[in-house]
Amino acid sequence: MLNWDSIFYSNVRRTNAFSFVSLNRFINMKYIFSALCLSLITSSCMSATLDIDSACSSKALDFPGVPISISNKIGEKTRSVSSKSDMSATLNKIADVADIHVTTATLFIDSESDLSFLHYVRVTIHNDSDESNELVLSDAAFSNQNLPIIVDKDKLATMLRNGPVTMVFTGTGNIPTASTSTTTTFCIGVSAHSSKSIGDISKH
Amino acid sequence: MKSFMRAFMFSGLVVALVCGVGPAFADAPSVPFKVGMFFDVSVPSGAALGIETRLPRVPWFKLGFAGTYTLAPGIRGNVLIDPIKFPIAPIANIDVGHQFPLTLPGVSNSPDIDFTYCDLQGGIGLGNRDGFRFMIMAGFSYLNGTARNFQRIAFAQNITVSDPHFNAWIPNAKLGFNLLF
Repeated sequence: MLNWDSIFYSNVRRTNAFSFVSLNRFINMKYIFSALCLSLITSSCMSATLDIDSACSSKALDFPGVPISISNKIGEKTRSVSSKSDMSATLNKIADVADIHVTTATLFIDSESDLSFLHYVRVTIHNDSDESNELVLSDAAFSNQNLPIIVDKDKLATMLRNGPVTMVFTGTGNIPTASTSTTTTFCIGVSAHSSKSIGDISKH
Repeated sequence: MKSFMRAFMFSGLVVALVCGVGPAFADAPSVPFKVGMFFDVSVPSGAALGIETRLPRVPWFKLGFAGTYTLAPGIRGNVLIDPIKFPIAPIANIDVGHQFPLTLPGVSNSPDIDFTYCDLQGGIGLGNRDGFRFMIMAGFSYLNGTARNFQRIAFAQNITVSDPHFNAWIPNAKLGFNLLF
């Protein structure tokens, strides 16, 4: 018969009922060994998540004006401008150790000038090494400086990791003859997740 | 195999019992309050030196507070559950700590990394529970932290990167002793 008070309390005198055999059975080495094995097995893997709220690329762009020769023609005009950026080194550094996902993407056009002449903006993106494969980042009426992003984020992540990209901004509206200075800021949020066993880590 | 599985299940049951027996011993005989010290080396705390108290009525329950040091100082509190008064016994431990900002050695322009962590550990205690107890434990740690000044790492021109947050489950191990005076 096991006397619990004897086990738990140091100031309780052990009685004859206390049995070393029972205690020995209770803390049988097999159970302790099993508990240790359980700890080691469960602790033999690790997982980590890294969240970067924003990685941003900012560029100054001069949005071109329309030639005077066509400025008086009736109807909206369309002009385009392109901007290059390269986040591949940053993303690939992270991708070397973890699976990365683009969680958010934002595109912002800022200008000290009035941009109300823009009625519609379409933004496409392509890798410099593969111009035929382009994605539409945004394609909407221009209502504020934050352009709505419609691109599939997994495809965007693949493209951004592949190397330098070019974004082509195409604006439609009552475009003035003079160029307009703007700053475009393209941001992505990145989540990187890695799960590894101790075996995997030791291989590296 | 069957008995091995049973042993695993029993291990889980022991942990559950250890967590649940406290209230059942509310009328237990009083034991004196004791103070002591402890020292251990573990991941992710590093080296820890602190004071430990054994509360009256619950001699299997020890509370500790320590200063830690890895590559920078930190603090840590712990609850040690040492249920069996015997020279060799299973023990369980929960740590909650904070690591103040540290920089990674060998990384140029290393960001400042700080994190809060919680360790869940199980293992074996050797020695006198009410005196000198040597402990060896293993388990899991949950870390949640931030790498500050991440922009210091050389990124491509015109790329600004916000400070990343991270959380992780990692294995841990602890080796140390406590001594109640």
